[in-house]
Amino acid sequence: MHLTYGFYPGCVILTEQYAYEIAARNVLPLLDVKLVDLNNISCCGEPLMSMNKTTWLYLAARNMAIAERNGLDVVCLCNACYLSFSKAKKLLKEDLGLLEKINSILSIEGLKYTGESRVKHLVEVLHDDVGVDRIREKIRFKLAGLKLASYTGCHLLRPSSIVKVDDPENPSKLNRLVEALEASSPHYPEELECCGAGLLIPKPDGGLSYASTQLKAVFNRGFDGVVTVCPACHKMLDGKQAAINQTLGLNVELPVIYYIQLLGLAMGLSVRDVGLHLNQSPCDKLVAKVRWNG
Amino acid sequence: MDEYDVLIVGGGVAGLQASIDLAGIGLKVYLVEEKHALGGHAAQLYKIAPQLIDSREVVEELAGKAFRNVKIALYSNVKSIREAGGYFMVEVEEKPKYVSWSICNGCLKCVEKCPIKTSYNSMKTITIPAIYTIPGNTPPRKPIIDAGRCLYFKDRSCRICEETCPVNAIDFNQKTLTSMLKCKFIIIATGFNMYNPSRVGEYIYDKHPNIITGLELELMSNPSGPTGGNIVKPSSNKPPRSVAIISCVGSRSEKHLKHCCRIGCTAGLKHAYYILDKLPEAEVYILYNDMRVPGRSYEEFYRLIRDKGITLIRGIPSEIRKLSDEELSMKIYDEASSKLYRLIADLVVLEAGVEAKLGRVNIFNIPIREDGFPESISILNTFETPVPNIFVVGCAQSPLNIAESITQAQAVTGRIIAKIRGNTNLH
Amino acid sequence: MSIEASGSYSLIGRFIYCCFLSVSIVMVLIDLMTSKESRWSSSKSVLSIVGDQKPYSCYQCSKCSSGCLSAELLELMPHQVVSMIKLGFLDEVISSDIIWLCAYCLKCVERCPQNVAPAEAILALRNIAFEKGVKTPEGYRLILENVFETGWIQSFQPVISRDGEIYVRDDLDLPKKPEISNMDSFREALAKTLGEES
Repeated sequence: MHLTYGFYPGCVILTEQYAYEIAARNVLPLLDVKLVDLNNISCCGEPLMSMNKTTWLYLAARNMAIAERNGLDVVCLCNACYLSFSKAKKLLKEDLGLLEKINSILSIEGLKYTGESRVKHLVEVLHDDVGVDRIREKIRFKLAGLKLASYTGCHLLRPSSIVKVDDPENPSKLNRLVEALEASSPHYPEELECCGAGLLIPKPDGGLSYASTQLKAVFNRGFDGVVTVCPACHKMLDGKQAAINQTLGLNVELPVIYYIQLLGLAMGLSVRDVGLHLNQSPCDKLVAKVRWNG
Repeated sequence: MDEYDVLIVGGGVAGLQASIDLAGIGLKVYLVEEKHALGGHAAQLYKIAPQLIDSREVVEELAGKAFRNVKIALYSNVKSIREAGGYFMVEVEEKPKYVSWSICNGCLKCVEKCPIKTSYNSMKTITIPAIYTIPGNTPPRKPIIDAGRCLYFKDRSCRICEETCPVNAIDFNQKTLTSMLKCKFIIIATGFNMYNPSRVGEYIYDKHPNIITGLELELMSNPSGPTGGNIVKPSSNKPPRSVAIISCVGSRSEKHLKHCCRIGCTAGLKHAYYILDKLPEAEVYILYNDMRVPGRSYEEFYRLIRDKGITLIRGIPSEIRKLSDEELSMKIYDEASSKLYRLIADLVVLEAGVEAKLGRVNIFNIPIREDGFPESISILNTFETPVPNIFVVGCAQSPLNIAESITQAQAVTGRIIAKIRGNTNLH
Repeated sequence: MSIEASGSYSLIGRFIYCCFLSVSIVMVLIDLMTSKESRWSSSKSVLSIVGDQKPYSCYQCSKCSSGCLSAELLELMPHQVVSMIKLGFLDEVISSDIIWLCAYCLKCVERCPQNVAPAEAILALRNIAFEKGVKTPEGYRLILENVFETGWIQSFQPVISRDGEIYVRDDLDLPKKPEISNMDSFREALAKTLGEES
């Protein structure tokens, strides 16, 4: 079984969350998922939603048009990109006048958007397309004994009229993916709360207070770590953990790891192969447990 | 083939009232009820607002009169109807009870012994065995076996009810009985479904025992209920310290039921009354969107409850979160003080919406509106459908309270008499 | 006024009457805290940006605000923003800080029983703020500049590993940075989107 997707990493992964891309490129081929690099892609437009609707729509549409030109569906690794594309898709499907306007601008670049390419997030590809059973088959090291918080993130769940990845009030796909690695992933009351990444531009300290709320909740509930699937969430919980501890006087030491990194480790890849050396949070604690349970 | 003047589908208060009135003027009435008991939702209530009278008395009076004067087929459904020469040809199917009611003495020992437990009508604190009576004050109190859940029918592995029964009333060999009848008029009084609170995921109904629906509180408050009338939190069977009653769950929402349920605000006040009546020390909060209590005596009812010392907050919580095995936490914005609060309750009561039933089981081919309720001919004939001689009354027609349902049932009698006498075309 | 009244008297009278009329048409709803008048017609411009969402559908259940983390942490009350749009006090909201306090978590959109979608209304207000040149967070401007320059929101950042090593993207085993081959067309198209205001 071979699954092929146009690879759309998005700004944050390309320019700073390198670990996610490293892990994805090393792990996905082992699950027979082929990533095809797309040329001429750009920002998905999500931050531009706040500035100008047309600019956002244009950026979203151009990337999807590029995938279409290559006859490929798109896999996003970032929740914000996923929402940007999904929202644009819906709008351009329902408003033909808008579609015409965007296509007339796209023609400047020789592009055209038809809406043919589907857009999926990595969680969908792993859970729905690859499947939990196949993942289980590929595991060499089990994570039994680890209790991990599955943090799906806002933009994969809401609004459910646009993104249909999982049950918005009771998501479980990421939990099942984590459980496929034989770790336990119980639900916790704060799992639907936002990480605050959306506030980084307009109000950074606000964003930190969001992230600290999430970190404190997960830490106090005795989880061994947080599993993320979005580079924005990861940046807040992993990258900003030290700053949060310092600014807000906390003492949270919580490993934060991308699911694909965890999967890679469980499949026997090295720390370097999944880019874990770049995670800022204390992930070595987690690694030690993985090796021991082999 | 038996011939009747009126077929009534549904044995709740509306159907019962109509059957009594029509039989009372000498018409031949046949009442079909799909459950094995009468009384509908009203029989599951403890008290009826705004007078706070015992629901049991109302239901028993109606059921008593109906049993004496009307031909009633319990545990039966209308299978098909056909029009022919100005009559309706109706096929009625009586499901096998697997209990001989003529022998059964209603001791209900079989019900106590049955090992199966399933939640009733999406209400998680109300469980019924495979041989069961309908929860509430639902006459007659005799059980049937639900073959779909019974172990005997699955693999012959259990016969406890048969072994327990002191009068040998269990009969696993009963069969479905089909009969045909002919009638001139049909009154549909099939009632409503309570909107399933699990569908409002943010209120985590499935995830915590101390979140219950208003209907569950009614059954719990009833002295004949599972706790002997004591209001307790399911997690520990102890009385709650603080109760949050949330209105409008699944109602007036583009995402669930668009319509107002008509009875939720009253029900919330009534539930607050039950709690304070039995637990005077409890803190009771009603979290509401609007307080809709129109009608005679309703404003007085609202003041009566309000003055007992409940806290009414205009503000609906976005979500409920588990705080502990006993407690739930929710944030509310209070309009009046313009502040955000956290409320901690160890019992939460959800006033769930009223969902139209007819939209799903419409063998009568009545045109159904977008909200699932049937079309009426006009504002002057709300209970007359576009299909001649078929009427819909009670909550099958529209969200109504008990008094309104009964009034509609009484009104339809007048309409039928007028039609029989032929003077329906006054201009 | 009798027909016999002198011409100038009736002219002045009518002029005063018209002044009164025009003033009273404008002054329908006044915010007593700010003395500002509502301009209901400007609410419609929000609706045209947002599309389906209807601030006037709001029935003030405050379900959005009770679930909003920014309400708890940062004092943004989505239902109040919606109400101000509905009443026509756009200028006040656009020039305030509160529309920049939304994290766009979309809980309000998910849960609102009337599909008002406060977060989307807030985005529309942000769009108007940019259009009008009202004070906006600098970060957005930098992002737009970078997208124009390179196609991405920021330049490629160096990162520090847990054991203190500094890495740039080229050090890591990753393909070449994706670039847009025809930047001129891209910039032309982007400029067009900004020139074409909604």
